[in-house]
Amino acid sequence: MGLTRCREVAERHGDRIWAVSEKESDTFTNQSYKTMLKIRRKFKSRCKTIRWSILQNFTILIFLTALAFFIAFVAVMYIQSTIIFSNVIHKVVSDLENDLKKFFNPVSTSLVVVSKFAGLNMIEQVDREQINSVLIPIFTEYPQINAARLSDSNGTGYLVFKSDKYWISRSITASGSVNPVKEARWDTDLNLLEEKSLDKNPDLRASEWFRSAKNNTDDKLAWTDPYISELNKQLVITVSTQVVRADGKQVVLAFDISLKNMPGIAKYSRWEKSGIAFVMTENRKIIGLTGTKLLRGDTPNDLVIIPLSEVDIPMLHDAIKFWEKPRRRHRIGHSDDQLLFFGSKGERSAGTVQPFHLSQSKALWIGYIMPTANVRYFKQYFNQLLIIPIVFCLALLVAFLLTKKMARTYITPLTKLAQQSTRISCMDLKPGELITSDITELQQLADSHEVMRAALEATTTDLRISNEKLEEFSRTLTEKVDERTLELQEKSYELEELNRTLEIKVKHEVEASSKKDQIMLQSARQAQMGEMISMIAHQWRQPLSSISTVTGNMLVFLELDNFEKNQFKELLNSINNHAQYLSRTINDFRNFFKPNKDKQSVQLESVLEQTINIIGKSLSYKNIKLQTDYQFETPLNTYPNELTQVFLNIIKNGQDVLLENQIEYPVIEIAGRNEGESQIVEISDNAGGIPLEIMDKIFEPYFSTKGEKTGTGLGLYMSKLIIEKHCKGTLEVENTDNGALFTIRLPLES
Amino acid sequence: MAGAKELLETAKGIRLLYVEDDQNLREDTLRLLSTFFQKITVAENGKEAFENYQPGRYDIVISDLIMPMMSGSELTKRIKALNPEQIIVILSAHDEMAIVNELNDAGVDFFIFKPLEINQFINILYDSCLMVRKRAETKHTPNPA
Repeated sequence: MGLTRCREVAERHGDRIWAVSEKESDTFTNQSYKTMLKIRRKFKSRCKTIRWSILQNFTILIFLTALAFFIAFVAVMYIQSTIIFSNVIHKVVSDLENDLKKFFNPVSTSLVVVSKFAGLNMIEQVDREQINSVLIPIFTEYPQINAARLSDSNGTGYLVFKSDKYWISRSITASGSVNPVKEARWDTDLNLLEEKSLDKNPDLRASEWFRSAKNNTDDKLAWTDPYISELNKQLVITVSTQVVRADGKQVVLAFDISLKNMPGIAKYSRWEKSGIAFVMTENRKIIGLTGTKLLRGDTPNDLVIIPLSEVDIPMLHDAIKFWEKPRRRHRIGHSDDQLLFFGSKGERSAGTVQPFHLSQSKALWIGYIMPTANVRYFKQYFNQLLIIPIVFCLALLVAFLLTKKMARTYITPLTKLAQQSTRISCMDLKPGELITSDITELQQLADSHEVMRAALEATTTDLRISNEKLEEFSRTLTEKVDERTLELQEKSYELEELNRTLEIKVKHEVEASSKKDQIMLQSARQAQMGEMISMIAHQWRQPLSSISTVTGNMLVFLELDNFEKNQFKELLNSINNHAQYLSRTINDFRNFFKPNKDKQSVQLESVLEQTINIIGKSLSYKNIKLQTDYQFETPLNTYPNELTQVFLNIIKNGQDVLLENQIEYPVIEIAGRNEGESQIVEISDNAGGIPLEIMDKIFEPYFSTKGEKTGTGLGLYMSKLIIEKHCKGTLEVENTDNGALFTIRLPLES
Repeated sequence: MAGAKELLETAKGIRLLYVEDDQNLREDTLRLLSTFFQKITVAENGKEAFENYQPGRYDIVISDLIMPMMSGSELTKRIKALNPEQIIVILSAHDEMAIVNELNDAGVDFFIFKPLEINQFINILYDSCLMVRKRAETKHTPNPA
């Protein structure tokens, strides 16, 4: 009976059939069974405890972690949302502030330039050349300036302003004169269209810009409030400054700044949906466009300035009210930041108002307000909270799976061990499943158990098992040989297939890469033309200056009525020389762009000289010293323009790095000589060398350290391509003690 | 507007320091300047000019902006540190105007754009000379007020 139960237990655990003979003592079996049950019961109950304790503990741990994570996330979100509001508002306002600076600063600078530059003698006798040379370049460069005003303390003055497509100037004689205002009108090329006299004589001294400059004691610029200009009916702010002329007279010089394109109006009215950015004067008037939602009006894009009370946006009124008398003020971030939160008719908003100082005494108020409810941006952000339950569920799932895995790791080997022990105790010595475990102690136990079993088994079944194994082995060997043969056949078939497709693939790749090269060549060429124009500008700067100086000198001689024929001849010759030089310069550039596809026999000296002709002035303008030391014994059959392109690229590269590293005494050195069967050109600089980590990348296409402004990343790549593919030479780079050295090696016979 | 004759009259006895690195332009401008001025010292760059400079030695300094060794703006800074009264005129091209603020802070008195427009050039030299004379007067005859 004991034996049967023993078998039942064993079968229930999936063991093999007992190997114990039925003849053996019932007493023994019974006893061993009893012992076994005892152990098993104990073992099983412990097993349960471990499994469940791991499961429970782990689940609780993960649950608590997820809970903590959730609480922390909600807390962070709560704080974040306030900070995000603050950040968005301050970002918009500081952007606006920067844009306004960019808008107003050039005007102040230009006013200073003109006050220092013009000499201001023009007030008494104005001619077109003066306007042409002084004001028009400034008007053209900064379109926000649309009028200049000038007056002395007698009321004699001069106004020039842009009206539609004309320039108009008015000379105003001192108040009380009979024929006070002369007006002239020019087209944009400054051809005089009409001249007439006007009756009305304005008193310039009464105007706001004149008085504010006069009353301004601190030697800085004076700014008016925005007003509609009487000159061209545009909304302007006038900035004025008082200048003491060399003869002691005081004049006031002023520029009108048209507010039409002022940031905070055109740009930020787009923000209507999420908020309103606005610019307000000190006397509570809003500057805006009619036709936007901000201001009522019929024609869009007309600039108006209207009192705050007439703007029908409750949120804006609330903001100004709270800003003037803060009831609840949140300070977030820096202590200076003032962020207002306020509510109106159930809708909460947030915003800030701050001064934009034009000068110490004059400011505009700028601000940004946004509703804090119904803002898509924040809604989106809070929607992310939905992720929390998902994360939580995932965490639980992971906990469950992890626990299950852990339980298996601990429990499974033990269970198996127990089963095997049971078998051994019933004298079944056949090898069971080999028990492995990641846990050292369990593995040790299993190993020693296995050793024990094996020692027992070895004495009885050793020989039989080795025989069986031998048989088994020979059988599998045959199978494996068959398998391998099959595999080999398949491989050889694949190889054949690959060979056939490879040819087509190579053809495609070659076509694609040649197309890519063409595009690169073109874009490198275009970039180079841009650089060329800047080089021409440098070349022409001084000769043009010389020509204008000499012609000026001749005019002076004529005016003083003091000249000799020979002297004039000499001066005319000198102008001619300068003109010849300009023409030669253009030839250098033209030659460079002339397509010549055939090889020519040239001395490398002349190629290098052409290069220096093109880039030399640009180098010396940047204070870079150029040292040359080259001599070639024989001419070379090559493509001179492409070589020039390479030399230019390398020198330009050196120039950029020298400037970027701010080398104190920048030098570029060009050396060259014959060496064996080739000619060598070495171009080196003292810019500190190429960092080792980018050394093997500098010839790769689109690799540039210079940012998007100066580099296309193609210069050196193209150079390598030209030298190696077209000229069959080599282009290499290495670092010397204080810079980079590019070595170009061109074979004499290619 | 001042003409060449007025300038010729006002420029009598005024001492110039002229700084320019390009040889051709230097010679051409020097010819123009010497039509009006008798005492002109020439320097080839800012460094040479500054080594030559002493307060009271020159009435007007006329300098190019971009030069090797020492630029016009650096020269202005150094001279104004020695002698804030020194009248300095800077010649510059339109595209170099980015450093206007720097020059203004350095205390430059006048700008002239290159290429030269002769009437402006004469005007500014005229104004500079007037300024020199005015300052000299206030120094020698103390203000009664």
